[in-house]
Amino acid sequence: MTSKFSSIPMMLAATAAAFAPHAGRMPVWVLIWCAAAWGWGLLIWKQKTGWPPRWGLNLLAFAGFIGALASFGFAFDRTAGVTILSVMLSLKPLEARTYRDRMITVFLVYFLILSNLLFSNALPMFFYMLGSVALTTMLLVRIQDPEGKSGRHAALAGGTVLLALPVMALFFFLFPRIPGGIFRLTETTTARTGFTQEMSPGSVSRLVLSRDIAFRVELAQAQVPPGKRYWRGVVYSDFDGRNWQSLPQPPAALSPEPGVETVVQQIELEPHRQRWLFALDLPFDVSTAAVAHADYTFKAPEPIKERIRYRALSAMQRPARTPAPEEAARYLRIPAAGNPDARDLAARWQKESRSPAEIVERALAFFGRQEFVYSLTPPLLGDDPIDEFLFQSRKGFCEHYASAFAFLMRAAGLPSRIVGGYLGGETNPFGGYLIVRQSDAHAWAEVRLPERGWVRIDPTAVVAPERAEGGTEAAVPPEERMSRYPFSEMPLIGDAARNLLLGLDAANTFWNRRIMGYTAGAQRRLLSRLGLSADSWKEPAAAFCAALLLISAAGALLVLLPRPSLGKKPDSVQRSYLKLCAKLAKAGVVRRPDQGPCDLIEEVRRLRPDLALLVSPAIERYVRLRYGPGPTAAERSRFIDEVRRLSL
Amino acid sequence: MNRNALFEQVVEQAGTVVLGKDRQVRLCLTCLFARGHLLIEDLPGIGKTTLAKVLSRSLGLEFRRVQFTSDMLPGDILGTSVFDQTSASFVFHPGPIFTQVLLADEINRATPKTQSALLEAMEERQVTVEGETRPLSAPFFVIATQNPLEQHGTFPLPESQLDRFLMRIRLGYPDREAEETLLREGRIERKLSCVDRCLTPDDVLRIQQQIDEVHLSEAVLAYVQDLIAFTRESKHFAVGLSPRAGLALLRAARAWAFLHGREFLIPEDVQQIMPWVVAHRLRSREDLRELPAERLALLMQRVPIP
Repeated sequence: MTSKFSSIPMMLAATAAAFAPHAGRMPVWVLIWCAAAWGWGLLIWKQKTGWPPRWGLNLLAFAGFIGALASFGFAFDRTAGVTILSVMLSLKPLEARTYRDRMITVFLVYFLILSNLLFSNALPMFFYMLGSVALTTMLLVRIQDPEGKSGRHAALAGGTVLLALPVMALFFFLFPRIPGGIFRLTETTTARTGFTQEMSPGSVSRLVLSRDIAFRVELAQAQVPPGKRYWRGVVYSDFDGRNWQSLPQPPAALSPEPGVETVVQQIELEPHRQRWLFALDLPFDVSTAAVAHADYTFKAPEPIKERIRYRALSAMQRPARTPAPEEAARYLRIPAAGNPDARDLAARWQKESRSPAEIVERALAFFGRQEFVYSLTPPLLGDDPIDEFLFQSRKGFCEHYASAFAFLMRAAGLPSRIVGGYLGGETNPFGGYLIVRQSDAHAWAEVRLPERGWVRIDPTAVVAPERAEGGTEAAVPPEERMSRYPFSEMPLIGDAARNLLLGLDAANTFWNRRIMGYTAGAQRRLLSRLGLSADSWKEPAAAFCAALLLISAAGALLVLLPRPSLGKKPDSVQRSYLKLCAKLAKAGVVRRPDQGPCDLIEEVRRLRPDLALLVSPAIERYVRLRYGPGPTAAERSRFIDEVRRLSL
Repeated sequence: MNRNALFEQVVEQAGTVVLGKDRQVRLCLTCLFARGHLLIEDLPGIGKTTLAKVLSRSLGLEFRRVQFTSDMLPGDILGTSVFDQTSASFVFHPGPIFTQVLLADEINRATPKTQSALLEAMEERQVTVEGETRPLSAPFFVIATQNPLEQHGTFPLPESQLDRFLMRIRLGYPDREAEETLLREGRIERKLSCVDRCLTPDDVLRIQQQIDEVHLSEAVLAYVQDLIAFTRESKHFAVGLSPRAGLALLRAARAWAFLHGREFLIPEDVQQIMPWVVAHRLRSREDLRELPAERLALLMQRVPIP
């Protein structure tokens, strides 16, 4: 087989590997096009068909170019560009008759691999691209050495990629970074779950079904016990008899009371397409562009579509600030009619109690006394949802409890509101941070008491105290737990799977923070830590060149220095004999390097007479094979087999 | 290891006369069948002559002994032409070298001139006297002895001459048991006359040919080369082994393998004969003297078998 053919399979494999991550973005006809072109390439390789004529290829190339453009409505964007590249590249192996064409193919494949960066910078993609680059390098080696062995090619290509890694790291850390990055990725994912403007019964319990990550937090965990990890996001203040609404509010300046204990958190918020920023209850400052409101919520200026990182400051105690009268009226508003039983109950509490605090106590006692059940699948509620829930079904999720409680409080004349956010979170032992998922979504109530200001009241905690400590999984009744959390009854598998996922999450988080988060500013800080001035280009450039020179010199030394010769590679018989010697060594008979096989038999007879009969036939066979004239292949494989089966 | 029956028979017979020296007997036989010459370095009265006699008798070879002295001339060994009056011409009278086994006793007593005459004959297996070249008998085997202690009035063999001996052995005193038997029984001469011929000279020649065909594998060749390279590279030796020494090593190892009933060489063959083949060819770097046997063995253990 001539060099013209021998590199075709490798070329197709490298192209396919480079193409694979793009496959999902391409029109279907491109996939068929590529598969057909590769199939043709294989036929040429098998010499079942000839090379296509030049004019035919030109025609195909033109048709593919127009087709790719047409598929995207003649609008040229990155996907269209990659599609055109893929269509053209798929034709390239069909004309790789000359060395020059093969080399062009290699560099086009490298380019197609690089184009992945226009779409993704996730950690797994990095490893995939590295593998793809190694495969393409193997193709490059094969083109230079068409008759060589694939194993040697793979070793050479892998070694080359490994040698390039230090250079890659150098470029990454020291090459001047452009603020904002070259590839400004826009998040193309759709339909993220999260809190919305409106909270209706069932909206939080839908959230809870999702294992998606809401945000990750680094904080001094000892400062905040698990039961106290209320993450505040939205405040719902308007009730229409069924749903709670969050209404626009004017900005306000927030500051903690002097002398109050504060907690700092580093929060990495996943995009949720809303403007809420989450932070530990009660936040008063965040380090990103946001508007603060009097109800201690923060809103970003735009819906959050990319992962953002910010620092939040929270106070562990609440200020006893009295709201203005018009503010108080807003938190007392309830519809004029509906839910008569609940209103009666509230009116009775109001009459019988001497202080607002007593009303709250009575209400909590009511939830504690009656047979309320925490459930992710509450029954549908009718026209008077609060009445039905309080006196009939008594089965609900946190938003039912918070909603009913806030309604009761308003009916009893106490200003109240609902806070939406998350409760708890899972500590990732690999990364030392807290993962808060959608399944930790929670809603609780706040009541304003005259002397103490807004007080957090969580009626769910009365019904299902295990929710605060152990998360939703612990709080749902056993019959529901089985269907929702199939692993909860199998601790071993569950733990292994959980640890694997947590480890992956830690790796991903590290990647996003340290590698993707290595911005121009971070580079500046690194340079100044290395003692280089980042103000002029001269010092970093000199350092860069010096490091590049050093790495190149080290690489050249590694490649060019003669390696200590290990002598002739032992053949299969010798390898088996060495295995046999290793087995004997384990059995207590250690062969000296200068000890011949016949002496070894004597040694076995002396030290382990019990083994002599077992091993001497094999060793004698080895002697014949290695030193005797004309050993046969059968004899050789018999010896190898003998050694393999020998157990001492 | 099954051993060649004939060989065992010879060893056994020699054992009845030269008591407790089996190893030396085996080495002598190896040397002989490898077409080499043997140097025995030992004190008088140890049994060198007896050993030579019993070997030549067992193998059915013709035996002669020459006592070397300082007034000896080459002609005393090689032979001279004497004028025969009846035929009115010079007639060559062959010297003692025209035999199959020659015991050259105390070779270091002779002058270098005489020594070299013998040694050249040993190497070339022919003698040129007065312009006429005469082949020596085949097989031809020289056992030379040397007294290492008495140095007064001797001409020690130079290294270049030592190289011509395939092996050099020492007999040493017999152990107590063997000596007891020896002292009790005495009468070595009578026992010697009881030794049977096991082989004919033709058998010896045939065996010598067969030994040349003993198979040498790549692995053993590599091992021998490693050994030679070690002596040349090691800092313990003044000079390494010569190519002739390498040939000698292989020749002796082949004979050893054959005499032990094998048709191919194994590394152990080389190891077994090596001390006797190389010890007299190597000099220590520090004092240019021979290395003690134990030290040589330790050094050689550093070469792994490939």
